[in-house]
Amino acid sequence: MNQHDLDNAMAGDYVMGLLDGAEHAAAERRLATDPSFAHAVSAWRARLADLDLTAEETPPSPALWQRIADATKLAPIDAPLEWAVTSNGVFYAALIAVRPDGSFDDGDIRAQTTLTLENMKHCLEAAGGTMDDVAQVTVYLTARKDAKIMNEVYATYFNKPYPNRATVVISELLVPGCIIEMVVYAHIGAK
Amino acid sequence: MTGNGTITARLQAPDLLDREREAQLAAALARCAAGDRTALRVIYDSEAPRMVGIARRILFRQDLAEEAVHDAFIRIWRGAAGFDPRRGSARGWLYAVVRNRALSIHRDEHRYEASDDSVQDVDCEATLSRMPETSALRRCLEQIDRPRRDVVVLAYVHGMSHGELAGRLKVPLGTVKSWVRRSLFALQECMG
Repeated sequence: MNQHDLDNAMAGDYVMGLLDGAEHAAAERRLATDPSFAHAVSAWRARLADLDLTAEETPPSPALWQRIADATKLAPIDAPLEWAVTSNGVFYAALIAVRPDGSFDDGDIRAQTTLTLENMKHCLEAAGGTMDDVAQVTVYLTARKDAKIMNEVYATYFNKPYPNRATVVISELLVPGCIIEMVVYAHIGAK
Repeated sequence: MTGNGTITARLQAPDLLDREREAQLAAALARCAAGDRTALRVIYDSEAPRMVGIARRILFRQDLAEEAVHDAFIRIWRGAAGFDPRRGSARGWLYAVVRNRALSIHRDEHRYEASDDSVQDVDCEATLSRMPETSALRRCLEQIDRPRRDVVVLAYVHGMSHGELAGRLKVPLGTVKSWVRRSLFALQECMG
């Protein structure tokens, strides 16, 4: 087989769901970067699409939408970053006080800390984890005086044993009015 | 309510309704990418029941199927900007997301116990007969002899791996791989 045939066969196996973990991941990377491979995948999806329509429509339980709504409270961001990513079971996130509609809460330290931690919780839950999975947090503050209230709010979101933590005071954050950011690492399902 | 609206809708050709639904879904994905959460609900109301059905054929359990749909909607919300209408239908994209999630759960949970009756009940011919007579895929699958064509249905619809296919069809792994290869080649030749 030439390269074109090999790519076409890989695209077919990818759409069929027959690639193993490593091959599947490689195909997903190519799908994002290689237009001719993406084209082959689209063609296979279109060929096999009628099989999807043979699935019986099965009503989901009423609670499912609420769970999805809760897990998608953060708006997608207009910047080249994700609020959170997972890799090999490790969860990485950098969070600020952004509201579900994408607007920024420029309130006081209590409000911003609370919303930042709420966002952390939503991202973890969306990744299948909980606050108990958090291993390390770095808190960035723009004013030393905010540490006390930040600590008060922080303590209400975590159980003992607390995550490891560093707190850093910096001159400013990029988003105007933002006075706190948290960078978090978690091992989903480790506990 | 006179019911007139319903009657008018029923008189529309099915493919026209499909095209309308496709356009609505593509527009809803664009709105998701712009951060409009009501658009995610539009997609959910239209497609969640079918997506649960698709996941259930792979996972055989309602709770696991709903888990796959839950994960799929989070990915749809976060990845909506990645949908490109020039590269395929919105529905195909949505269903690919839920199939990927269901396959991933299926692999992680090492399902298909020998005693799993629901897997034994899988009937490939019944699936084929649910496709419209006019379906090119159905016509082309029917030209492939059984059990070679079964590998397409068992893998695509029920998420079986090469190993699971070999076990179910009681043939060596190499034979299964060759059947998959030849069946896909035949489908491409037949459908273009």
